[in-house]
Amino acid sequence: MLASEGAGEFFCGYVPPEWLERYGGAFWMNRRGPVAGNLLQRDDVSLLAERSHARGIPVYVTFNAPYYTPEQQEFLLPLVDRLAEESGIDGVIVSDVGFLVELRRALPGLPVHASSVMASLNPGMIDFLAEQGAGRVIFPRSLGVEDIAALGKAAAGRLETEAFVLNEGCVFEEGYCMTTHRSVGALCVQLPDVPHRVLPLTPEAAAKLDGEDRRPAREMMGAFRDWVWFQNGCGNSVTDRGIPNGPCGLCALYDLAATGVTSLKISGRSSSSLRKLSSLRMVRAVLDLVEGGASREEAAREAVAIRNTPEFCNAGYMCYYREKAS
Amino acid sequence: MLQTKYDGAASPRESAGRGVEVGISFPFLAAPPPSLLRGEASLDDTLRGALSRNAHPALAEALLRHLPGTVPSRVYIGNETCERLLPTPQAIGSWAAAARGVRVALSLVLPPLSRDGLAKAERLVRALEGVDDAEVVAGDWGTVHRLRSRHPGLAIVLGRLTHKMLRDPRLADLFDSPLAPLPARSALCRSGELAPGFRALMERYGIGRREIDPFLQPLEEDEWEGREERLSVHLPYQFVTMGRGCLPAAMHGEGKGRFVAGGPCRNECAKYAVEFRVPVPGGNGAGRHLLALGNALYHAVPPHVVERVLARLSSTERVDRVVVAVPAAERQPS
Repeated sequence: MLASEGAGEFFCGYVPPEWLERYGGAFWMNRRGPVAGNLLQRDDVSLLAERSHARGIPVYVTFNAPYYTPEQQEFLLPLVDRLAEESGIDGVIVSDVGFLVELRRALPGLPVHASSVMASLNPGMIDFLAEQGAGRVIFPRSLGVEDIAALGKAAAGRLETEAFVLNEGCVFEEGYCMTTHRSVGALCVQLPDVPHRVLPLTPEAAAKLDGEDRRPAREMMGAFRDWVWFQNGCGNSVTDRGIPNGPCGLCALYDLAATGVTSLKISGRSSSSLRKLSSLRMVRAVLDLVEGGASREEAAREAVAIRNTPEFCNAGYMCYYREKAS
Repeated sequence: MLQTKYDGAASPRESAGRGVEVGISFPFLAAPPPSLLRGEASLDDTLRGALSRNAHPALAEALLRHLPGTVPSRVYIGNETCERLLPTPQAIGSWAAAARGVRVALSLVLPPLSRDGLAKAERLVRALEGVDDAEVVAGDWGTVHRLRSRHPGLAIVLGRLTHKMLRDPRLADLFDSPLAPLPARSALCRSGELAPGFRALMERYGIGRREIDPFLQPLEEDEWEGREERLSVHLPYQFVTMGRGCLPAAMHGEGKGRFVAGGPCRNECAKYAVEFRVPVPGGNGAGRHLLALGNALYHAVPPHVVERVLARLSSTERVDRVVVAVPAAERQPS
């Protein structure tokens, strides 16, 4: 279904039962979740790879926990080897820089992509990844189109590039977020609803907080609440046409495509196939327009029309690439 | 960093390994207090007027109890999460001149850098060249790579943001719960930094020091001692998370301009913080305080964690520096 609608690559999570026996839900094997959003049988990975390859589509498996201990790396290396040799996956996605080095040493023929959780923000990181033998850099959500263009230029000929285009926002910089969604949910989603107070750091600020800054301080927290809501998929909502609300880069596709970025990421995690399909169709429709020669304005207009939630688009907080928002 | 008076005749570098250094970081001040740069500030003086009026005097007391006679001997300049707060090369030059001859060393703190930020940081590093005992604290591996490539002799410290471990204050003190599977407890109380791949990176880039947080969960012994590099431990704030969008900057922002990386900013972070109280699971209404400082969230660890960290200083070989962050301080006499 996704392949016939124009998906060019698949990525997935895989959590074997041995991992769950060791770590339960306490240490997630990847950022997708302890169980949900992952394949649990290697045979399923093999089947996914077989059917995808039949359509010429590569499959990547993500091992993007922020870090793995030495013991976990010892466990994972043979597992990744089997996925590559026996299940036929095309590469892995990692976040731990040390694990990247170790994978390249142990399995030099296996492409390794640097996850967005590696937070590749500058050209030094492009050089670092190229030296370590990464095959692709996945840009973090916080980068703007101009940054992506510049880093893509730095990566040209050495690394493939990938950028987010739809779904699954993150209020913080994921690569530097040391919190867990386990048991307690996302901290960012929680923050607007917990007791808080603005603290002045200087006597002058204390005086202003009682005066001219009282209202801006209140407005700041209101804006924060709105921003978090939009980044969290507008409360994880969908339109009556089944279109997922939330982080979106559709109207920036013209500029994004012009950067030469190799791949566009549609996040799916544990969402339904219908949501994935709906997301893919939206991106495909706008990308087809761009690749067919539409102007920036035409593509952006169509993106907003497809979403059909102009009030959300106009708010600005839903955009991945806000400097390019329509 | 602080030196004990017993090492008063030694330079910070010479004292490493024999004494515990204490550095002071002012991440939101335009300039370090001149008295600190001149080596004239006591620990009490330095921490007086700090944001956390309860935590900092208690911290000063604990530090002086564990490290009698200690005085600040290293000043951290720059901010670990926001590149807008990078100092100018001229400011670094003047601070280095002020500190020269009084055995106060400088650490330039760099946040995770954008491409523009990296270019600015390189100019700052050039301003530090030739300054005795100066070092650069890097917040990302791209910066490490670039600086090592172009400045082979530079002392590069890995900042605590690069120390990948969960430290969610809502849960972290449960990470070593006996109810959890043993492998999970172990994995949550150590990083991946002793694995061969990470060790290879440390060697490749010549990293001799790394910074770590005061973790709520007790770290495994190997995490402290099973490494070659020296450790600097932060107090009293544990880093929790950061974004490129900034909460205080939204105070005077408008509409779509809020929370954009590199968006409008009036240095609100130097004037205001936001304190959140988040519930802890099973806490019967108990909560943990998080402090939004600029574009990051921190947690001031409780006294028993401070004590646990400081108690290590006499027994450990690897931890030889304490870094005390002072988010804001009343203006001090120059």
